[in-house]
Amino acid sequence: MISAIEGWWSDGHTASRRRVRLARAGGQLRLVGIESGAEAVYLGLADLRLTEEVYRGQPLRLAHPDWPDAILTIEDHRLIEWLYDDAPRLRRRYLARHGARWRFAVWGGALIAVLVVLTLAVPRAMVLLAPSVPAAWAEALGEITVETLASNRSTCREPRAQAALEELVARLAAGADAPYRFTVRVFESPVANAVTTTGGHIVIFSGLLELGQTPEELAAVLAHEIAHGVERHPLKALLRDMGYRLLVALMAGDASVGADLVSEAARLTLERSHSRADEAAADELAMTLLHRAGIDSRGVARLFQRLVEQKERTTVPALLSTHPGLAERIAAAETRQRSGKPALTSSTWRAVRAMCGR
Amino acid sequence: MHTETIGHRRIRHYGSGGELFAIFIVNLLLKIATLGIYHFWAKTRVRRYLWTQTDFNGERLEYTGTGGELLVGFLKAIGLCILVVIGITALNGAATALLGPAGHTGTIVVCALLIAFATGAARYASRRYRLTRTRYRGIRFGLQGSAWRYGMFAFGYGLLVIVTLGLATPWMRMALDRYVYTHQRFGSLEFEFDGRGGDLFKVFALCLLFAIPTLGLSLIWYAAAEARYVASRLRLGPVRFELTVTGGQLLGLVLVNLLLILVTLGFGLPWVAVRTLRFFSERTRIIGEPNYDAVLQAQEAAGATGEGIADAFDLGIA
Repeated sequence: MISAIEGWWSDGHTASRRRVRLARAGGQLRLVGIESGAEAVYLGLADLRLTEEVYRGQPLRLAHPDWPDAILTIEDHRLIEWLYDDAPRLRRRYLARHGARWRFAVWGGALIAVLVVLTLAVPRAMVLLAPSVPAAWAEALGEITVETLASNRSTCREPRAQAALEELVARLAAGADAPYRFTVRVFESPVANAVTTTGGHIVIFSGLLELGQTPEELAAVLAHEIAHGVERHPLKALLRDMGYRLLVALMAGDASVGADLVSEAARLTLERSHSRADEAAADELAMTLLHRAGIDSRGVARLFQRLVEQKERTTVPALLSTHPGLAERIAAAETRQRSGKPALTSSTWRAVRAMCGR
Repeated sequence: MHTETIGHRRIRHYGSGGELFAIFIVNLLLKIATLGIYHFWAKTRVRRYLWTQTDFNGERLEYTGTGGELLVGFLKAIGLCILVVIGITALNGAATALLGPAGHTGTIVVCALLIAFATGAARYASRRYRLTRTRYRGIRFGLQGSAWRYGMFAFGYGLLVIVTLGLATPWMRMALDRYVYTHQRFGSLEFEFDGRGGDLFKVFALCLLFAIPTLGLSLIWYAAAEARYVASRLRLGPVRFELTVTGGQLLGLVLVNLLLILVTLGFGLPWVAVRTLRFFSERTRIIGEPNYDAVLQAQEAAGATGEGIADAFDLGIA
């Protein structure tokens, strides 16, 4: 039996406090003033609660609904043990007992698990929305993107070459069941690259026309971009990115710079792994599209080979210049490639290569 | 009336960075898990910790606000904002139709005025919310006065400061402090404040003069001087306050805090919060004691809408 726990009692009417001795009386706690002969106060044990979380070395402060502003302060933590069975609500905010760290770890672990699941699930759930985005929206969005790209570059518009490109795109796209009509534009730029926006707008940067030595290599690029469009990769990437940003925005609620950086790094890493999977899927479908159109598909591996060579010439050797990604893609292309019709006649190919006036 | 200085320190902060960090991490995770809705409970949890760890004369503060109150306040604030936006849109439509471009300009001016008022008013209402949710020895603090009046003051003095190229700053600061402190109460006991801008003008002008060669650092010395002055002019019944912070100490605090935040990528925030509170409590003395028996509970209700507005616009009130 614990004897003589004492505390301070403030009744919530005035700011004075008086020293009281605590005693149990049935289901109640009885407070008897030590100095003054004031009336004893009775507090029902069942409704007794701590006013805040209590850590080690911190006084216990108790409140009771029958005494709205009153507060009972007790230094002696043995009180918890003393009233343990009859005052269940006293345990809720008591963090000073042994094992509090364990509870913290378990809760922390569970919360981290929820966080990991959300990080993986939210972007994936966003991607599931892709089929329900109307094609008209995707096309309008893509047009805006193309216009943005066009704003600081000149478009190459030689009519014969443009017609040849459009025909080639139509031939390739006929092999797939695309949700929209593909368009193609060539921008003047030294970069050897091509992009597809949402809604099937393909943009070729003229550096690519100089890099590719045969029309089949150009066909390989177009087939790859059409494949991205058919699979709605640009829209999915956009939705995924929105998902990540949603998560980042939630974390940034704490305005913690660190949380921002960590989540941004995670976003980039995950996005990269997704885009690698998208590239592989686009390569696969591109090969099928080339075959359905009857075009010689050896251009794919040749173009990749040229990219490897170009990078080896221009970048620092050693670590950076190795391209495991490209090497794999070349190997995959070589297993499926077969000969076929030329992609363009030699005269139209000349026209296309010259369409940006070089 | 006798005043006595008791030898031991009478205000102490017992917070620990580690404990607060644990709270921050759990809050962060819960916020993510609940898609942000936990924000209001997280804020409440942090405040309850910081209040509880602040001890005056052997008795700690108590924070009685709840996350639910903050959520309701926030929702009301959002509703109010939507109404204001609808009102402004209607006003703009009507004004433009009647007066042409001048009407549109007029609407923009009205908007700017409204935002200036609302910012000050929200800050005042938010302070009222926090004070009415703070108890000491079971007695609630309070803040009377009108948040809109304060907003008008803040706006008017803001204009004065602009017109005088900053020279009126001490007058603005003291006028606003006077409005706040003379309406602040501990139960039935009222705070008194008689600070005057004129008393601070000399030190302000001096610090302003050195602001350019010191890249603005001299203003920290003004901040310290102002804080000392405000404490010396504040009364709570027979209780007087004294702050001993110097400009150099304050600069040290700010620099170390910045460094801590940068080095830890923001995760050091709990330690920064605790050491800042400890810094000020170590340098504050409370002289004299109220007659606690005569301090009565006073009834005053206050909603959390002002706090919600402050929260919605992220006014950065901890």
